Amino acid sequence: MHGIESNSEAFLEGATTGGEPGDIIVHMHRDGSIERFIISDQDGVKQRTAISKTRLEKLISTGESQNLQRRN
Amino acid sequence: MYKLTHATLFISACLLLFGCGSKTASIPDTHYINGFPVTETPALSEFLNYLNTDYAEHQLMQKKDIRIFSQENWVSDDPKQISYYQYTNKQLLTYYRPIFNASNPSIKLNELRNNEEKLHLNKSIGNLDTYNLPKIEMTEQNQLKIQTSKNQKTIQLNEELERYGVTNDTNFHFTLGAINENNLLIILEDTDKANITSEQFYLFIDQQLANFTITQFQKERANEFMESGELEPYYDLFPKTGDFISVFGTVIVNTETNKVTPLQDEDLLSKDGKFVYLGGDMKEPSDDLEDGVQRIQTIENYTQGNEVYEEEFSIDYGEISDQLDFDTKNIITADIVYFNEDYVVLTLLYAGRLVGHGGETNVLIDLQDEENPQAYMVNLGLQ
Repeated sequence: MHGIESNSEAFLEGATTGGEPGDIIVHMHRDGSIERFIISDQDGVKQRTAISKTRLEKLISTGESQNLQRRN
Repeated sequence: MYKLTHATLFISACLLLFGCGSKTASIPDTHYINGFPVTETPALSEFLNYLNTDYAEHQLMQKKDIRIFSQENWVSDDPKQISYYQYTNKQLLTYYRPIFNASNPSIKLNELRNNEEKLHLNKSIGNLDTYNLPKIEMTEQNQLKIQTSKNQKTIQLNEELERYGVTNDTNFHFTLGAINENNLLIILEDTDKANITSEQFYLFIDQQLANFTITQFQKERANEFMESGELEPYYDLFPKTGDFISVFGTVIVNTETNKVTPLQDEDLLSKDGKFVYLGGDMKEPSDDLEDGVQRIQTIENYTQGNEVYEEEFSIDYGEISDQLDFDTKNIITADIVYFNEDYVVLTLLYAGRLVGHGGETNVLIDLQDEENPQAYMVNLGLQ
């Protein structure tokens, strides 16, 4: 798990390209809203897909994120 | 002879002038509007549906006003099988209506997308025969049971996928990716190789469950694979314009010849797989969408390399900055966050006067009336 405080415009892009498939990005905005993404590898290009809070909790509760934890 | 040369030069100059003039004039002015759209339209519904569709969900079909989705097995109450749900466009719009007049649309959208109330929008489909949906279940030793209203079949995945190293220890996520009256596409992934599209397995099977093909798909091998004709019986599952289909978002195939045209790195395929936004794909963090004239083609015209455009419109980052009273007109980030038929959503971030940021916004560009593009400037927090 990593924590980054950044004003950089390239935070999301950098986190996406630097992450591994299955990694989760939690993006907290200064206005209080929070976006969550899961990284995938689509033909060699890293992409991020939005995932809701409830779906992410389901993913964690069912142990489906174990592969991610092993990789980290 | 002298007069003729001058006359020719004069006519050529006129043609150049009027030619250039008519081309510029053919691009309609974009009308910039501050705030979220006030009218519910089909393209806006499609965008809200995209925002609402969660990870591990696929829209399978739309029957009149009803949208029908599959959910991957691990999301289902019974993780051994795929589940299905539905909602209507009216229910979708009712749920997201609070954004239309929210004082902070970004926070309101974020609340709505992450609220557990969203789950109540999804009505579980119990009777699969209503929409001719198959029951798909994983049983002991990776046996995949498929049951339609016409037939049932069990596929031994450990045997069929032995060449890929699949064994009894392999666990799968699976879902229904597409369906029509002739065929089904089931997508499976080994949970140890999740979220890597080139490692996914695509199981194509006809509705009679008589014949099937199970394969992986890699862009670099697409040419050889598509030319083999193995997927020909299942072409009707893919997005199509004219004789051309887009396959898994990476290549375009001529269904008459099986010839493959790869999507160029800089070009972006629409969510529905039928259109290409020229220069719309920002692969690198440093890449930004250029403003000025924007062009969209169908996959058919794109493959043929012609100059027939489905949409031509313009974006002016300077004008957006002026209208929103941002600090500068200097773009730090300009990217497309959503592209589908008749609708494009941008994220724009401007530089501050000396350092930092000078303003950010999303721009919802509505191209439904191609003579009168509307650009709604509203920050939805989408990046």
